[in-house]
Amino acid sequence: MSPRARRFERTAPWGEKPGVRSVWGRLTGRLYRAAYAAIDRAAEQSEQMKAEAESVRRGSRKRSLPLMICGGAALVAMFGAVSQSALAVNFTTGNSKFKLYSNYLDAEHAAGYLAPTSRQGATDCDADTADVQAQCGVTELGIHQAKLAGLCGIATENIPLVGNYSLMITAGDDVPDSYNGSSIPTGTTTDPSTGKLTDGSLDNAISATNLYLNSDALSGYGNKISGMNLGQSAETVGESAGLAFEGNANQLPKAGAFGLYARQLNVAGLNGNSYGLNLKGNITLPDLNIRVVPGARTQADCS
Amino acid sequence: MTESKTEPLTYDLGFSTDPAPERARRTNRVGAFLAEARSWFRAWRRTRPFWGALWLIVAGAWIIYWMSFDIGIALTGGWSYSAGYVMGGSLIMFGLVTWLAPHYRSLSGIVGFLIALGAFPTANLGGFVVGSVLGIIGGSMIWSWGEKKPRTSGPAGG
Repeated sequence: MSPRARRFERTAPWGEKPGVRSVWGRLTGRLYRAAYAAIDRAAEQSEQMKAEAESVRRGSRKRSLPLMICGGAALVAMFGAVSQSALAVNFTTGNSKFKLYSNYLDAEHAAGYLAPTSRQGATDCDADTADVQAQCGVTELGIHQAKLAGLCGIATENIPLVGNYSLMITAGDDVPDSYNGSSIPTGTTTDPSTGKLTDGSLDNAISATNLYLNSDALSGYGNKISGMNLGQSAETVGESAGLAFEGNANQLPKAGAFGLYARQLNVAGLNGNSYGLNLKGNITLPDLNIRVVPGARTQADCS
Repeated sequence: MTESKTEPLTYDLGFSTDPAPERARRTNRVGAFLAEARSWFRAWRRTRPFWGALWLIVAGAWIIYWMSFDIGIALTGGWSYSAGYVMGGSLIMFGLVTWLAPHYRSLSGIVGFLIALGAFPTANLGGFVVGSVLGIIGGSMIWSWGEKKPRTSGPAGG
C-alpha cells in the first residue's frame, strides 16, 4: 500500500459503536483508499514505463521489409488474379453516389421496383457529389446473372482542404467518350437474335451474379428485351427473377406497388447514377484498373 | 515617512496588484503539465509498436468508411454488407490490442497482416487497395517491432 493510501487506513479500534457516522467513515475511507491506491499504482506503472522507454531503443526493425514485400507481392498477385477473372471479389458500395458507364448490359432475370435508399437524414438527392446521408427515391434493380461489356465507375469525393478527388474504376472493354443512346457502341459483339453478348465481348465481359443496383437515373438503348413484364406487383418480382431483396421494412418491395421483371434485359450504352452497387454473389473484373485522380471526372476520362 | 509620499494612498494595498507574475506562474503550471503529458506520451509510444498499430487502425477505419451501412442492414443483409465492418473492425481491434497489450505484438502483427490481405477480396478490394496496403505495412511494422541497436552519436560511429 502506498503512503498516500495508508493515510486512510483504519486507525480507530474495532468494536466501535455502530452509527451512521462510523459506517459513513468506513465507506468513504475504503473509497479513498482504493482511489489513491489506484492512482499510485498508475503513477508507479508510468514511472516504470518511462524507465523502460529510456533503457533501450525500440522500434520497427529491418525484418519488417521482407514481410512487407511478401504482402505487396501477394496483393499484386491477387490484383492480377482479379484482372484475369481468376479471383472473384466482393464489391459493395454504399455511401457515395457513383456514376456508372457500361457499353452493354446483358442481364438474365432482372427485377426492379421503387424504393428509398438505405441512408437517412438530410435530402439533397440532385447534388452531383451526393450528400452521404441523403435518403432519396431510387429504383432498386436486381439482376440474377449480369454480363457487362466494359465498366467505368466514377465516384467523386470532396476532401476538405484538398478539393475534389475522383476514384475511377475501369474493367473489361474500353468505355468510349460518350454514348449516342440509339445504337450499340462499336466493338461490342452481340447475338443478332437474342441480343446476348457473344465472341470477344463475352470473353472480356465482367460477369456478376446476384447484382443489385440502386440508382436514380439510368439511361441507354434497350436492345431485344424479351419476356418483359411491366407493372407486376412489386413483391413478386424478386421471386420471378430468383432474387431475394434485402433491406429494412421501408425498402422491401410492397405488395401492389409497381414492379418490373424481364427475362432478358439488354441495354446498350448504359449510363447511370448509382447510389449503391451491391453484390450477393461474386464478380469477376477483367483488366481491372483503379485510379485516384484530382478533380471531378466524367465519362470522357474513362479510357 | 520620507519615501512613497508622492504615491496616492489608494495604491498601497499591502500587496502587489500587478497580474503579470501570477499569470506567468499559471502559464508555467499549464506548460509544466503539458510537458509532463508529452513526456508520458513519448514513453508510452516508445514502449509499444505505436506507429504500426496506428497504420492498422487507419486501414480499418478507411475500409469501414468505404463500406459503411446502416447497422441494421449490416446485421441482416449478410456478408456483402457486413464484410467491411468485420474486416475493418478487426483491423481496428488488433491495432488497439497492440497498443494496450504490446506483449502480443508478434501475434497481433501477423494477424493484422493476414486480415489486411483477406480484406482485398472481401471488402471492396481492401478499401480500393489503400486499406490493404496500409494494413500490410502496419502489420509488418508491428511484427518486427523490438529492441534496436543504440543510435550511434555521429556519422563515424563514435
